[in-house]
Amino acid sequence: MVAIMGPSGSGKSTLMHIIGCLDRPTSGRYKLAGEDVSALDKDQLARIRNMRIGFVFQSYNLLPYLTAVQNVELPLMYRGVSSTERRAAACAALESVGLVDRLHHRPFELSGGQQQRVSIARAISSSPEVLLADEPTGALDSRSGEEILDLLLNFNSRGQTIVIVTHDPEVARKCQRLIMMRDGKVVKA
Amino acid sequence: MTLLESLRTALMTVRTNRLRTFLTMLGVMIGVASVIALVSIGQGANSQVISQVAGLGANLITVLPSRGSELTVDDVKAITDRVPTVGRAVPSLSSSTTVKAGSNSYDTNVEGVTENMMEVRSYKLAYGRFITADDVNARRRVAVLGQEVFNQLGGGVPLLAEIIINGQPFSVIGVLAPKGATFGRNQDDVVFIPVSTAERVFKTTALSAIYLSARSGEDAGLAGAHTMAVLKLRHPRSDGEDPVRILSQDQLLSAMSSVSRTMALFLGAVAGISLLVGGIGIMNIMLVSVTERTREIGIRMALGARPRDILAQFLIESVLLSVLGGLLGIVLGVIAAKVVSGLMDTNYVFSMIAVVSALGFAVTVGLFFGGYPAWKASRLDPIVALRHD
Repeated sequence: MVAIMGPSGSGKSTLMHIIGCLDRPTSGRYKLAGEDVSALDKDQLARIRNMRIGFVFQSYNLLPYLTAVQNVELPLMYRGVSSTERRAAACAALESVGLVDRLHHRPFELSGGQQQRVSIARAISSSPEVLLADEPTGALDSRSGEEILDLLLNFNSRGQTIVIVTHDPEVARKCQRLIMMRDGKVVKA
Repeated sequence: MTLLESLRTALMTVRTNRLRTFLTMLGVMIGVASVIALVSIGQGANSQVISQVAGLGANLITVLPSRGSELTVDDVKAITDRVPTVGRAVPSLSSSTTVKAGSNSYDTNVEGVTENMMEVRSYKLAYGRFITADDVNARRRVAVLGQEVFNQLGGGVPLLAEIIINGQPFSVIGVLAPKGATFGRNQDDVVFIPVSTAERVFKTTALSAIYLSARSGEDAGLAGAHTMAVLKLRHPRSDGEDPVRILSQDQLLSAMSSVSRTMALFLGAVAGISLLVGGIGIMNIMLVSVTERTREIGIRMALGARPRDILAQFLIESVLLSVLGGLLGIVLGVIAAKVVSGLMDTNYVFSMIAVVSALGFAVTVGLFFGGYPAWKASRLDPIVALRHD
């Protein structure tokens, strides 16, 4: 588990987006597992995001008109997994975040902490190589935030690679590696 | 993502926003409904006109004297003698007059004709007999009543009963089977008497028309031209005008079909304009929808949606809107056509071609007008879309 810290505007999120193949570097190259990503086209980038990256956003980013389980199914749907397999995988993912009794709730029927758990379930449902969490506790009260963090640490202890952007030194302390950023540059790695 | 799944997603979003969905569909719906209704009503009226024209008599040609020329029974004989393409010819010496039976009286059209009238004008007898050559030769005072006249005189006129036509006694020898109206003229509102008798009773030999039947449909044009030539020789005019006007069923039908061609063109224009307006409505809403759902597009892209997945999603949504609109429009149009044809007393014709082409147009409209918004959505930069609120 790697933490990225730094003041606002230091480029944490941009680095995160580049790692997640959502954004391209204006200069330099980004190699994902030894592969230069800058030469890939939109479809190939979409495939990398789909197969190898899982995103957890500060503002959850769930689709409001879909139920929890439908939200979790989305990445698998774009992967072309059949609907029965997909449903099973989505239920398993929701179970692993402790929401097995909230499968058919829509986001507005869930608390902030629960919504963030749905979004974590969505990120891990596709068993990504890297899970990218951009201030996952930023919009939550401290208790829910702690629960989310414990959840992430739990996944990490079972072998899930996680990159987390955070303002909280407490969170950073629990990570094996800390990257400090300032003015778009890595100042401490 | 499969087509079925895209369709399911589209259905979900279309359901989420019901009022907007309905209003968006309204344009296509009204367009399709008006086309279906107008085509059905038009075809119903058209088929009725064609059957009426055919009902006038097989290969009927009507010869009407022009102002300043008089036709007589001799002209009828001249035509049958000299125009081989004419099968039968009937003179008609008609006059509007009052017919009385007992205490009932009725104003109708009394026509002096010959035995050939039944065949040339496709009349059938309800009972009794029609005028014979004998009746004509002997100037008998016999009459055949049209169904309408029979009813108007109380419906109880027995055969051989005496009726008074223009003050003179006639005996009824037959009643015609009902034939219906053609171009607003009731063909059952008539009394037939021998033409020779009519000349006496109405004190004239001037015919009001001659009816000819051509030997075949192909002969009709030739028969008309030949008849005109014969009559021009018999009735030379110093002013260079034709002595008669000749009307054939072909002319009536071609006049009718040019009317229906104009009608079809007009309908096409209505359809085109309304579908265009409906399409613009769809495009408008889809553009709004793409802007509103920019964040959703960003999320979907972050989760691995390719540009073509986004394109498909929005295209399917707009096609779904237009097809739903089209289907509702068809239902609405069929109902409207049934109601209107019921009110106008015309036949209702269900046009499969109109239904299929209306649906085809609806899909095309959805694809065409949904195309640009969908393309715009698929071209969004994921990171920009994600930051959008």
